[in-house]
Amino acid sequence: MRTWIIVALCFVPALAFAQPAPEATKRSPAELRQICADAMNADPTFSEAIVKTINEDTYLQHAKAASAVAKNEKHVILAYAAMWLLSVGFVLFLWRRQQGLRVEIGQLRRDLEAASK
Amino acid sequence: MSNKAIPVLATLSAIGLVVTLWLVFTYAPFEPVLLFNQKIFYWHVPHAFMLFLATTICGVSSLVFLKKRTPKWDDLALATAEIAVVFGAAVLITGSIWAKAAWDIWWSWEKRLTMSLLLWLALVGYVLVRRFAGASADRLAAGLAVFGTLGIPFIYTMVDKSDRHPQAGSGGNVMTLTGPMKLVFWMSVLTFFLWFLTLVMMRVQSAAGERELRELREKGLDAGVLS
Repeated sequence: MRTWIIVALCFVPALAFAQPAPEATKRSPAELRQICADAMNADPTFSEAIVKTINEDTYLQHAKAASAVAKNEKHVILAYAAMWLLSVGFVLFLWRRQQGLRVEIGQLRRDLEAASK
Repeated sequence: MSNKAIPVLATLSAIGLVVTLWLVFTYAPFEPVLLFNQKIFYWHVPHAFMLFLATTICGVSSLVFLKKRTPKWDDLALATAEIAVVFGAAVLITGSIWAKAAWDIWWSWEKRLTMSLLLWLALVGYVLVRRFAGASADRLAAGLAVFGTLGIPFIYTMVDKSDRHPQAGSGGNVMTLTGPMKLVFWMSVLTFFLWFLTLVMMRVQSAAGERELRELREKGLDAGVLS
């Protein structure tokens, strides 16, 4: 008996899923446009809500595009800064080494001259 | 000669750097495919050219040094190797920043990037050998420089074979650039060439100073001034 109950319980949902979905009413774009226009004319708040949504969406798209360009700007600035820093750093490194060499060479020369006297 | 040439070349390259920077952001047109990040190209690629030039000079002068054992060739090799390390670091760093802007990743094991990294590591190896390998450092490093130079043709041709590396314009290489882009790019190349010459002269002078110091130290040891 219990088995039959379980089978019945499985069968009923299976039947429900087996039913073909009701076909959506097909309407032409012109009809849909008219329905939308009628709804907007009938209810001004609905019209405002639609315009607001469209504006917000457009704004978001613009903001996203601006952000992408800004992101690029950040990377371009970073890249140019890196190139400048490396060049300046290397020149400073060379200059300091040259200064150190001059001091050391001068000192050694003086010591050698003093030793030869 | 180099004493007088260094300030002249340094001034010319400083002017060139400012002018090209201004041209990149005001005169060169906006690239519609790569967008604003294409501006990195105008300094990134000349840096890569100077990396190749420095490495080639380092390799050739190392080869000549191995044959003739003349110190001036060794000085030139050392100078260009260090400069190549600096230009290579700039290429890798800016390349990585460009990759982040263009592909949204900091690094990709793409053919040209990987080969460039290997070349840079060989150059870093050269500098480390010169610093730490002792008496035979110049000859060991010269061999390494010749080996590193052999990689350049592979890296240069990789950009055409690579499907991911950002291209100069909309799908072309630097030879296909047109109009203002071409002018700004080749002005940048000229500027960085002058800058490269300035650095080479400065570093060769420094290498000559190091050699003089070594000789003086030897004299000092012989004379008993140094212990």
